[in-house]
Amino acid sequence: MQSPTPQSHAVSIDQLTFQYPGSGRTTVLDIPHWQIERGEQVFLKGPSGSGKTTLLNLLAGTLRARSGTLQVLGVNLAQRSARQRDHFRAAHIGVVFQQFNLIPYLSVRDNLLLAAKLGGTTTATALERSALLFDTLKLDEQLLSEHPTQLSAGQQQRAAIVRALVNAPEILIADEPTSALDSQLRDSFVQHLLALTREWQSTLIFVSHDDSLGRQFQRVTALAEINRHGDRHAD
Amino acid sequence: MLIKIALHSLASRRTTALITVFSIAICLFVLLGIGHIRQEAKHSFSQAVSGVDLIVGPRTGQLNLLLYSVFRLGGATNNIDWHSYQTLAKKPDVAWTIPLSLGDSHRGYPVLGTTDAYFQHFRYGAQQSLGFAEGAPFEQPFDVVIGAEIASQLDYRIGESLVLAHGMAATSFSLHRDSPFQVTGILKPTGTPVDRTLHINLKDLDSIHRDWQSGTRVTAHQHTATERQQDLEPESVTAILIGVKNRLSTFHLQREINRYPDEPLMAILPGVALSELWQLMSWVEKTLSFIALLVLFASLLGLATMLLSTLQQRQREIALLRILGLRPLTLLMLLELEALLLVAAGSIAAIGLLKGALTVAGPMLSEQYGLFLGDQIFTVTTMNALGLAFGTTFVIALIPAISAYRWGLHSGLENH
Repeated sequence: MQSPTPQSHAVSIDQLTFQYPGSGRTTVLDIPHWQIERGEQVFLKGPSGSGKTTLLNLLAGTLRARSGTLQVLGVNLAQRSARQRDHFRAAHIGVVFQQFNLIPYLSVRDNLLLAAKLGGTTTATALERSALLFDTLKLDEQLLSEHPTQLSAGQQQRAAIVRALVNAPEILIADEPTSALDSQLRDSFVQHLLALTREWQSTLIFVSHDDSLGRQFQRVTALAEINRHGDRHAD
Repeated sequence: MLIKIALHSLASRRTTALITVFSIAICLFVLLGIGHIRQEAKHSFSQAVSGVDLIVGPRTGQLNLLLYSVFRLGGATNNIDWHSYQTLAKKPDVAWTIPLSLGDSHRGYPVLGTTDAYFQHFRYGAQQSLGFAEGAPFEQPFDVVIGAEIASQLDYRIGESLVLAHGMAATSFSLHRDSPFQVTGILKPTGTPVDRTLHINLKDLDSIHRDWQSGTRVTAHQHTATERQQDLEPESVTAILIGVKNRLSTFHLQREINRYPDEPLMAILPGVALSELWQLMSWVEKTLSFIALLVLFASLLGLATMLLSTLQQRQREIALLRILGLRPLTLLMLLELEALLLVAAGSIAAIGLLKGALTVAGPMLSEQYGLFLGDQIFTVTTMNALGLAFGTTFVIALIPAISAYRWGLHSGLENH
């Protein structure tokens, strides 16, 4: 019941509406229909207040949709318990944040192993994968035993990709991952992300307010196009 | 994995964590220390005398008599006339008597004037009689039998010559220089005040005081053995230990002694006096324990505050852990674990402190107060105290832990 079905869409939304509890029934999201195919690389754009964060939290299962259908990998998250959604996220969804992608008091290796452990990946597999990813991302293996604070911003974000991919998730959500990077690093970071998700056959949902990055994606969606309530409310 | 996270998380906040551990350690040290001293004191007190049915002394407080006759603490205000002693000793109910005469000392250790009966009839612990590690009871004039602790502390052997001091001060200027004593016996260790006592013949004690009045010497001449043999009976004793022939006659005899017509005497039952002493002590002990518990509670609240305040800085960490799939309940456990690890570290430190303190202060306590503290600190009492500390921690740490749980419930990807 937890396991995703292989032939399903990565994301399939129907008549999804969402209000924050206690917000006076103000609708933040109202998405009649939206689908992402498996392996697609989607650039999701929209100004703040358009409901991006809410949508990402719904996809990741940290928020629960109360009406409509929200299927991720064929699993209707709206009907799953909090525990099942946590478990699902750990195993099938990788997330790269703008910053603070690694627990500061654990070494990079322990960060990767923690993510692996929670995602149900064995230590051996996790180390094998991270070695591959380190190589692709041109990260020195010695960084594994360093603490995140000893890494540069660029190294931290690349290590974040490794952490997000250590369970070989079907979906990778990148939430403004380049905001902390300068423009030179930004392009190569996006290139890496695109290449890796293609190679790993992961679906990439890349969120940014920087439209210029969208040029490198097959599909660009403005949230305002799919969300009927997006512009009216801050989220 | 959770333990590893908790340990690293604490290590990243070493300073606050160390201060917290320290304050917990100090509280636990006090709490465990009080419990230990109470237990050991009870043991040591109850071991000090057994097989004695009555202790007789001049009329005074029951505790005062017990303290100076058995524990050599404090002093007698009055003496019992030798004639009274003889009258009591001849009573038909009395099986044996041990006269005790106190007041002199040797390098701070009390000197006890007594008779052979002491070595025959005195019992301690579980009805054990005194044994000789070396030598034998005093026989010749100016023989002295020393306790095990004196022998080891002052490094005295058989044949050693020593001089007694008048009064109890460790640095007394009035020494009985003209009457040196010779060590003839060393007792086996008993773990009671006997270990710190020098035992001499009552007659010798009397003879060295013959020329003394009101604490100063009036004439000076060398005592000789022949002179002592001419001596009459001692004038008085400080206390008498009595064993009865039939236990049932104890109360009868006690009443009789309390009504003794020639001088005001009192007889006490050692068991009753001990338990009265014990009750007095337990009040102090309970009060101290209560205070220590309150302080421990305060320091555990401090620990909760520390965790709660760092939680504010850990919002992003919590969000990340949640995204990685860590459940809110696991966050709660993580915070609990951090609190319990701090208390565990505090407990270990407290036990270390207690061990150290016992090693350092143990000899001093036994010297000054006759408290013989064992170093076996892993007792039921200790375990109960530690269990209580851990239980309280668990409950108090629920405050930050539940906060972490609630943070966890509501965190996810953030707005920018």
